[in-house]
Amino acid sequence: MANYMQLVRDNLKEYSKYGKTEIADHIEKMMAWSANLRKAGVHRGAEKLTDDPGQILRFKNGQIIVDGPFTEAKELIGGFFLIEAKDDNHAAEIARDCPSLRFGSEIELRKVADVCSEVVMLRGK
Amino acid sequence: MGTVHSLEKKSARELVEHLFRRDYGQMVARLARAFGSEHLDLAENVMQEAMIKALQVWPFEGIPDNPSGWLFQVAKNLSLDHIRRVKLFSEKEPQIADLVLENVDYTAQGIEMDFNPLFADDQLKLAFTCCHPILSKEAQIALTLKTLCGFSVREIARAFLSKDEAIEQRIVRAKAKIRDERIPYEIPTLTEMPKRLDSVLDVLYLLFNEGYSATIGDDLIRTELCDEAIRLNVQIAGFKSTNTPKARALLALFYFQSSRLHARLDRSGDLLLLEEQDRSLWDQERIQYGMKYLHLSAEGDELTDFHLQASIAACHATAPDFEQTNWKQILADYDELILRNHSPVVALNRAVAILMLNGPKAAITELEKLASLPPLKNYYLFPATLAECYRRLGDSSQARVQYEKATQLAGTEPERRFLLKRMNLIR
Repeated sequence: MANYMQLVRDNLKEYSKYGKTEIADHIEKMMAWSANLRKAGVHRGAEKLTDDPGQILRFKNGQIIVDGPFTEAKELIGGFFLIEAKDDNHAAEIARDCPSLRFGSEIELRKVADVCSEVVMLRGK
Repeated sequence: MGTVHSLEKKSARELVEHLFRRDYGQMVARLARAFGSEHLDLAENVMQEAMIKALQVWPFEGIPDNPSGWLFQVAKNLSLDHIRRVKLFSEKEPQIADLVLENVDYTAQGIEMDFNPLFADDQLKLAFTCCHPILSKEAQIALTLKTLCGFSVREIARAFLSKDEAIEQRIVRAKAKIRDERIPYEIPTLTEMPKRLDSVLDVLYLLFNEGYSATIGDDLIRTELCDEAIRLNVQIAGFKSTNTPKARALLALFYFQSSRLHARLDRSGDLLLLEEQDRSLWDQERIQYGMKYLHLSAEGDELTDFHLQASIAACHATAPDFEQTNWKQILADYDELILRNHSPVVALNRAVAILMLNGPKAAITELEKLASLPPLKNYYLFPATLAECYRRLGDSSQARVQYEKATQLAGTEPERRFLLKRMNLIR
């Protein structure tokens, strides 16, 4: 059992071709998918990130520098879902069903580290 | 922050469908008023962006309690953005300011087909703009579907068996023409109204017909087209200066015909004749609306082709079964219709009514009178109708000859399958 972050990168160019019915249809599919996450008891969180690409902070030449990330809009993460899954395969199964994939989005699936088990593993050595 | 449990309160599907189907047109029309008819593009783009925002945000935050309000607020904010970014639009600042400061309740109300008074006259202004007689009929249709109905270029191209690029071009040119001719964003004057309204009703008729006809493969688009035509006609019927007997008659016709949309196909996707359809699948609510508007259309002295077509449609829609169809009334309506509209297709349909009422011999006599008409020479239903008459007469060989002719003329697989089915009935 572990938590997984499902980071979603949208493809805005794809969306520009859609009419109102297609968009309504996609919203409905996404709502159904996220409702299913709750029904299955695997939904641990979800947040939408703003379109503002934000800032990058670095320590350089003896001081903190704050910079734009110069990330292209198309690579921006739009939001994330936090899901609980049995293992990597289960997490992938859940992510595969995400309707966003079919509208040109990209999903990055990352496992959240469980600090306790790290410690237990170390103790065992 | 939207409430997630609103999902349990209302079905996401219904909400989103109703929201977009009903509110899109009103919102884009209101935006078009603020930006002006020379900037229809901008109104469309802002609406598009707002809907995409909903697609991006709602899955994470849930559908907001007032989705209409949310959507339009986003549209307003985006409008402000555009004004600030592009100096060209600075002369629009007062209109945009009005838009942003306007205090209207956007809570979606009313059932799907009901007249919603929110921005009603704006939607009509947009319809009159898109259907301006200065544009070609094809351009009017494409522009109406794109701007007022929110269809994508791809959907429009599919519905009219065109290429995406062709539709795109048509729409761009139409908008340019509106800009160049300075077509104002307004309800036409009393004197212009009959001609302008006719133009809009013609477009709605063509939209509905396209949705109703069997030439399109995509079921979803078909129903959408019919429902958009109805939705817009409901708006027209709800506005005093456009609520004419003709507009009401057309709406009645739409309701009657669309009541059968889900009963018309068999399991293989082929068309079922009226006599074969399961009438329990006919939408009685739509038939009721049809009767309501047919009744209303009788007020006043105007009798139009739409009245007659609606009357014919009413006869079919209210017959409990095929055997009880009032063919006498239908023939009377066709007799009147043929005087005003010499279309060979009308003549053909009239011949079918004669077949039902007076038998195959009388029908054959009528049909032979039409045989020389050019439009019928390549219309597969003409020999098919003759074949049916000969079949009923018991003349199997003549029936087969006519069915062969029909099969030669049939353009699609579903049409050929239909003819084969009829041919197999010959003993």
